[in-house]
Amino acid sequence: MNNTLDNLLKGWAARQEPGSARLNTLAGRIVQDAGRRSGVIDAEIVFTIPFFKKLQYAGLGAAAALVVGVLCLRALAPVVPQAEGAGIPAFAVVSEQEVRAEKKLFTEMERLFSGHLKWVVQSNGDVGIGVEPDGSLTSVDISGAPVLVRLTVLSRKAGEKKWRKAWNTDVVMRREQLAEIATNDQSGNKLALWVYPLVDGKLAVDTNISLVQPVAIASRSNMVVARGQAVDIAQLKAGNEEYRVLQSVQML
Amino acid sequence: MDGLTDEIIVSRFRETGESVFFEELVNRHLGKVRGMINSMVLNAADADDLSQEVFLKAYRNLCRFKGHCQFSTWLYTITMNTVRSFFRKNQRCRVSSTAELPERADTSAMSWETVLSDEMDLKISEALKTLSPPLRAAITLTAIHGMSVGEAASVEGCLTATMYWRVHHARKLLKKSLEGYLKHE
Repeated sequence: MNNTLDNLLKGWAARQEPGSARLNTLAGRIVQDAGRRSGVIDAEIVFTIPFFKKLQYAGLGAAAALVVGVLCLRALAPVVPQAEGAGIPAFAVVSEQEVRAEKKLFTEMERLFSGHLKWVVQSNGDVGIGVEPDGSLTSVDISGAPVLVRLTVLSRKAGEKKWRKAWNTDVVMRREQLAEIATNDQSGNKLALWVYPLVDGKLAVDTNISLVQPVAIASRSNMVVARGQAVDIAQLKAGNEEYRVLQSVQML
Repeated sequence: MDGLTDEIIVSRFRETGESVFFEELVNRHLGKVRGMINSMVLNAADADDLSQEVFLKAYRNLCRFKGHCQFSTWLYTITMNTVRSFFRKNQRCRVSSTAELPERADTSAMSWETVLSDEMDLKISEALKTLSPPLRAAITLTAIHGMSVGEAASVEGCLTATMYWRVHHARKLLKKSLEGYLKHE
C-alpha cells in the first residue's frame, strides 16, 4: 500500500514539472539575476545553531525555584472531589488555573534554557526537565505552541464504585515533537508522546506508555480527541484491583 | 563538468567567481528545487519565483558553505526555509488559489484518459493542500523526492523521530483522502 501512495505522488509530481523550455528560461533568468547582484550576505539564512554546551548553575537554581513556586501554586488549588462510578474524575482533567500555571512554567523554563527546552514532566510531585544538549533544535522545533498531556492512573477494588488516583503525570511538551520520557519519580515508568493539532481544533495524539508503578501496564494508542477531553487509554484487572489510565490533552 | 562533485564546483566558483560554475549548480538542481517548492505551494508561478529566490540566496551565501554537509542538503534547507518564509509572509498555510493543471505541450483534443488524469491530479493537489506545512514537507521530501527520513529531518531542522511521526501522520491523512484512487491502482 505504501508503494502505491508513493507511486501516486511521484506520478503527480512528474506531471507538474514544466517543460524543458520553461525550465531553461528560468535557469537563464536565475543566472542573469545572480550576476547582477553580489556581495550581500543574506541574513535570513540561519544555518548554524549555537551549541548548548553546559547548564549554568544559576540557571538551574532559578529553574528549581520556579518549579517549586508553581508546585506550591498547584498545591493551593482547590481539591476537587472524586467522581463516583465510571465517570471521569475532575482531577484527571486540566483546569483553567492549571493551564495558566503550566504555560507560565514552560515559558519561563524556555527562557532560562535559551529555547533548548524539550519538555517538563511532573510526576507525583517530582519534576524532570528534558533539554536538547547539542543545540540541534531549530526555529522549526521551537515555534510550536506547548501542549499539556495529563496521564492519570485510577484504581479501585473490585465491587467498589469510587476510583482513587494511584499515579499521575503532567507533561508539558512541544506539539509535533516526539517526547520520550522516563518519569523522574523513581517509578520506572516510561512514556512516548506526540501531539498534533488538527485544523478543526481537535488533537491527534499518539501515546505509548510502559508503566511499572502502580501497576505493570503497557499501552499504545492513537486517537483524535477534543481539547481537554479525558479519555480511557488502558484498563486492567490485576487480582482484586481494577485500573484505568486516563489521558487528557490541552493546548497551552 | 560532469565528473565534478557539487562541492568541487562550489570550491571552483569561490576561487574564480566565474558564473559558469554557478550555472552548472543551477542546471543540476533547479528541477528538484522547483519540484519541492511546487509540492509545497501548489502554484507554478510562485514555484518559479521562489526557485529564483532560493538560488539567489545560495549565490549570495556560497562563501558560507563550509562543506559540513552535502551541498544538496544545504540547498534544500534553503529551499524549505524560503517556502516557510513565503507562507509566513502570505499568512496562509494552504494555497488560496485553485491548484493549477500542468502545462501541456500537446494541444490535441483531450482524451478520456487525460481527463481522468487531470481529475486525479486536482484531487492529489487538494489532498496535499489539507496537510499543514510540516506534514506537507515531510511527505514531499520523503515520498515524492525519495529522501531518507534522516536526511529530511536534517533539511527541516527537526529530530529524526519527529520527522518519522510527521511522515507517518501525513501518509495516514493522504491515504484517507485518496482512498478511491489507491484502491483502483
